[in-house]
Amino acid sequence: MRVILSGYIVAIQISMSSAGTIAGAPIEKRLWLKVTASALAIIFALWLGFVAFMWRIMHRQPEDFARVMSHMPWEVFLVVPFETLWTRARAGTLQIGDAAPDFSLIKLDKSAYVRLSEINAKQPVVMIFGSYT
Amino acid sequence: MVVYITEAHPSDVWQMQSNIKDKVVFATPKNEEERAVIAGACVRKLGIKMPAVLDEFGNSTEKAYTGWPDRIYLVDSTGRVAYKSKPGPFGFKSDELAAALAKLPGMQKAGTDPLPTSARTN
Repeated sequence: MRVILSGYIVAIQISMSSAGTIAGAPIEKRLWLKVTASALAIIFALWLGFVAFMWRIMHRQPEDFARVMSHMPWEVFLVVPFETLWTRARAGTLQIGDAAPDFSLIKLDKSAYVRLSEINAKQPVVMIFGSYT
Repeated sequence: MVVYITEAHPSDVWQMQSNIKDKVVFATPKNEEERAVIAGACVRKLGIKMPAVLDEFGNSTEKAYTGWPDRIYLVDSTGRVAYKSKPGPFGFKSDELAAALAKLPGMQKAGTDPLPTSARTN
C-alpha cells in the first residue's frame, strides 16, 4: 500500500514538474521576443535620427559640413547610405537643358578674365570644378 | 576649363590622411591671393594643361553650379547644360563625360574620340 501510494505521489510530482516546464517555456520566449523587438525598435529609431542629422548637415555650407565630418569616425560611411544622401543633398538646381549660368572669372595667371558666354559662343565647354585638397 | 573653388579638405578643417601622404597639405586660404597660390601649385603638380580660372572668394560660381567638392559640367554650343555629373567624389567619371561629348552634334563622326586617353581618370 505504501509502495503504491509512494508510486502515485512520485507520478503526480513528475507530471506537475513537466506541466510547469512546458508552461514556462512559452512565457520566457514571449518575454525574450518583446525585449528583442524593443531593442531593435530603439536601435532603428536612433539610426533614423542619425540619418536625419547627416541629411541636415549635408545641406549646410561646405565649410560647415567639413567641420562636422572632421569629427566623425570613418565608420559613418558604413552605417548610413552616404552616397545616396550626398547625391541628393548636393543635386543643386541646375538641370540638363537649363541655360548655364554665365560668369566672368580671372585666369590663374591673372592675365585676363574669362567669360563663359564668350568662349561658349564658338564651342561647347567642359567645366571641371575642384580643388587641390 | 578648370574652375578652382573652395578647398575640399583644408588641413585646418578636415584633413585627410591621403593628402598628408601625398604632401597636399594646405590650410583654408584667407583671401583670393592665397587661393591662387594653392591653385597654382595644383595646376603645376598635376600637370593640368587646360585653362584654369579662379572662383571669386564669395564662391558665387561654385554656388550656382553646386560644384563642391568636385563636379563636371558640359555646356553645349547653345549655352545649355548638356551633362552634369553627380557630386564628387562619387560622381567624378570621365567616361560619362566622354559619352556626353560624343552625343554633341558635330562630335558624332565615326572614330572620333572626344576624350583622349590621357584625360581619362577611370
